[in-house]
Amino acid sequence: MMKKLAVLGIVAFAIASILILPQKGEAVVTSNASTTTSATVAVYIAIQLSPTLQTGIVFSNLQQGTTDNNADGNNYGSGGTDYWINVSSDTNVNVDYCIKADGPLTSGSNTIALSNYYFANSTTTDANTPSLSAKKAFTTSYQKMDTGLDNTQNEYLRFWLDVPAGQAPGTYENTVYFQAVEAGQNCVD
Amino acid sequence: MCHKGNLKMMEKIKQLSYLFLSIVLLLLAYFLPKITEFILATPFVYKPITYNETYVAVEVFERGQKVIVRANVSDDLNDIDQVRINITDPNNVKKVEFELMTDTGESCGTNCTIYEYNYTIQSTDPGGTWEVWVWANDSYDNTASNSTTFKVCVISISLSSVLSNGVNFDGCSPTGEYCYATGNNGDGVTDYNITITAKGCNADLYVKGNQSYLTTDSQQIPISNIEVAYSTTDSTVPTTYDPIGTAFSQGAIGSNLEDGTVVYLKFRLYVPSGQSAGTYNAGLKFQGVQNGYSPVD
Repeated sequence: MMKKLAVLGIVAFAIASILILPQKGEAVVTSNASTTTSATVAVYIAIQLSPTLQTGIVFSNLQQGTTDNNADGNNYGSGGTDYWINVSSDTNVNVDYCIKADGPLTSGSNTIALSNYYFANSTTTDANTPSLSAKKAFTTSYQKMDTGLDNTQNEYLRFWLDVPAGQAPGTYENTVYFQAVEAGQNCVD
Repeated sequence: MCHKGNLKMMEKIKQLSYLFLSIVLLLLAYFLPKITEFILATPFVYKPITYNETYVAVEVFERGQKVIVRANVSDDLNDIDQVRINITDPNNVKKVEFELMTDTGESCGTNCTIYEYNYTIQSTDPGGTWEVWVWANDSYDNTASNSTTFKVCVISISLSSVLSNGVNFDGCSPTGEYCYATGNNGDGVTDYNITITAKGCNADLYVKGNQSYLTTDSQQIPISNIEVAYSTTDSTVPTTYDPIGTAFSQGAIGSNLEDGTVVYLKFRLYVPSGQSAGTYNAGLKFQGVQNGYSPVD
């Protein structure tokens, strides 16, 4: 009997709560307005160099009258190259890569022409890739390398230098530039 | 001789006084009950009460709603002749002018009857405070009156011209950072605002996205990446931002707003790292509702 009364009491309380407690009703009086929203996300490209490439392309112990001398990071014939470039993970378009040099390698008044300075590129690397057989001479205008790479892919590079016979001793320097442009666009000198 | 004449004159005045007194007494005997009746029988109108259609006493109504005005009217002799009503809108226009109220036949006590009048608020009726006057006449043309008010809640919201033109985020970098809407004007006074018109009630204001994503072709950015900050007092808007959802209930941007309040807004968008380049589009919706009520999606 007491149990029944308790149950009845709980049910009555629940019903009373629903009926008595204030409920937030849906508004009848409303006023509406709308507008558009638009977000333009810009093309964003951030190029990065491998750690070895950041320290420079170095040819050690060169002898005059030699050709196809490997840059120190090439690891040609022994492993993958230490030279590569890529774009950051927040780069939001596929890219084409470009490369150029600012001029001949110079040491004081002595120079080594850019026609003696080569590069080869590939999206993969091993002991033979990028390959010497695919080498191209540097120019002072950008040359396009691999195209349509996304932000997970690397552009691997190797460099070779011919040292003409009779080249004066010295430390020869120039600057090599890399550029990533939105896929399909021209390199911008 | 002179003394005798004075006595006679005095006697005449005395007789005339008695005659006048008798007439006054006769007149009083005739009119006193009527004066008493006049005083006692004056009708009395209790303060009218406004009800909704289900006869719940209500003070705030909406357009389209029926207002039921009820007045308890008493008269000692129970000879109420007629009960009339005036209903005047906030612009002082008489919407109901001296109309007869209906005798419901319901008693409100001894010699007391409930009178009723129904008025449906039209879609063009103004919001604000309305006035109700009720008069009662008895058969002696004694009158009494009483009044009350009710409110009609009308809300409208008006977007600033820049806000109407759209909330635009230009030149956003996909670097996992916030991009701020051009109309924010940086830390300066925002060009985005909403003016509240709330007559007869206060308003709550809400915002939501019209879809779950800003989209461009196959790419998308969640609408919740748009965040809004708001203020009714600071046109430069504090930098506390809340995400926008797809339901108004997720986007309260002002509550209990009085008529004439301006709500200042700023927007920002979180652009995920590596988000594809392009122009992403969606819509924003705003809703003003009567204070305390849920918005309607």
